[in-house]
Amino acid sequence: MNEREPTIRVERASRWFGSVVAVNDISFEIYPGVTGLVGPNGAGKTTLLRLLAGLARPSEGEITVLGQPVRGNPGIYKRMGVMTAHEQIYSFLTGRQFVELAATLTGVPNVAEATDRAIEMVHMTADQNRKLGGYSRGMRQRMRLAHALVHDPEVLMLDEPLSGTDPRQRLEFMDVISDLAKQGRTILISSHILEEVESMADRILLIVGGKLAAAGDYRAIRRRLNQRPYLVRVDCDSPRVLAAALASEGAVESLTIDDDGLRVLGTDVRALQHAIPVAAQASAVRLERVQPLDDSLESVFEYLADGAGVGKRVPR
Amino acid sequence: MMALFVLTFAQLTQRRRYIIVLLLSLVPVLLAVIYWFSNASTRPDLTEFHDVMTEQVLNSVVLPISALLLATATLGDEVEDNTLGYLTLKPIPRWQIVVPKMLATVLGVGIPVSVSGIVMSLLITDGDVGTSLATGAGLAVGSAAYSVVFAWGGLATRQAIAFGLVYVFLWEVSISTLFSGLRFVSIRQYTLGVIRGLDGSRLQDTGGVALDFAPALIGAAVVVLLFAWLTERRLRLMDVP
Repeated sequence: MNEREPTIRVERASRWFGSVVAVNDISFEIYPGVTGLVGPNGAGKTTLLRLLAGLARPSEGEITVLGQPVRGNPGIYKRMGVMTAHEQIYSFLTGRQFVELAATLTGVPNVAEATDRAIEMVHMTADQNRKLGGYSRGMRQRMRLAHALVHDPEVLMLDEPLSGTDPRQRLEFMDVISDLAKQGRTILISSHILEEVESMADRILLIVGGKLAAAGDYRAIRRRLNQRPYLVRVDCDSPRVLAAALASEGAVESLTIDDDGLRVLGTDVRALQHAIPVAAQASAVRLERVQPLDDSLESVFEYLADGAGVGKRVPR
Repeated sequence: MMALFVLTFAQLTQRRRYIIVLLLSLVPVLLAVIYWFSNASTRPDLTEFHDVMTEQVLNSVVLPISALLLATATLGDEVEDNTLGYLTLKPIPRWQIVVPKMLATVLGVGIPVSVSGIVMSLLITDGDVGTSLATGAGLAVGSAAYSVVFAWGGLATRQAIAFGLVYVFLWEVSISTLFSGLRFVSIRQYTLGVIRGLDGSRLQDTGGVALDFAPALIGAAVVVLLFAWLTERRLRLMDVP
């Protein structure tokens, strides 16, 4: 394939289930490297990933992977590895047997060698001969990753791969992804936790309500996120004193004092996060708690979707 | 294909359902043992008892229920457990998934049911090897046909067990015996036709709807091929969970 060609191309893809539109007229291209597919729960990430993996048929639109249609084209899986969101496994198999099964079915020439390499890559060599049913959730996730990459695929699609992993396993997992990306592979990782994907992905696709809210470099998207309205509740010993100190801050748009304490609405997340403790210290106010009131991913994504984000593309 | 065959056989035989299948297969043997030890003056006629056991117990209950329990799980449980993606996301044509899974199912059902039929016949007929092998072979053919139909059912509907029970007791056991034309579309009649054909028609045609050996075998083969194709088609077109 030509290097300028995208690895994955989605053109006006939609998928609906009865009257519910899960994926709504989405177009994008994915190139080698790590791309994060991010959105709140129910945004359509898994449906989109299933369309990209060929597990489901788009109601409209076209999807190609490595220049070939993915649906009804089993041959493509020789070059593609997919880890679905479902964590179920064949619990009666050992971890090694599970990975060997993938190696055999994908036609790997040296099954034992490929299995060793994949298991080593996810740091599961010591536990490879234990039954999958006895694994912790994180161990199962790592064996599922080994199952997806045992045939050394050019394209890897991973749906919520970090789910159930502990912090140490996350770091190891991120290292594996990073190593694979350095080898020139195209890796698509979905997650509902933006920070989780940020640390691995060069580019991000933001999905909200089945639509593409934003796509491109995560730093550019992060800037947009930081510039959204940001409402926090501040619990302190002198709300009026702190309100007076914050009133002159450029990042503060409005201040409200009620029975619940002080509410501060800002226009720049980072500036506000900096201004509140500085103002408190300067006016000798003791801060008890600073709580974002609308910092859920949903509100962040809704901001992007309702604002100029939808339909606009951040340059790659 | 061997990997999928082994996987499916392990899946089927490690489920609790397989214990039920084994216990079901023991029922005809236990009845035959009781028959063997019972007083000759009080027990039913040997031929009549053998026919009743073959037609009413093995062919109408043990075989279809065993096939229903195992075959609906062949692909149905992969859908239910969300593990089907581990197979369909591999560079193999769908028929290479269907064929080994079907073969493993046919063996999983066929071995206990056929062995049960052979042992039961040997006990009742006082060691008549010809009749016993004919019974076993007929049940093996029936196992293949039922297994493929129910494996398709497991993929096509989430209510496969209910679908299978209605099919077995409404169609196979009741309606298909109403008049002779229906015998051509009955797995039960294919099974009996093969047994009769191999056993020199020793098995009595109680309902007058018996099939000859050749049409019975052809009918079973058509069912196997048709439902294997339908399963492959379904697997190719469906959204995999």
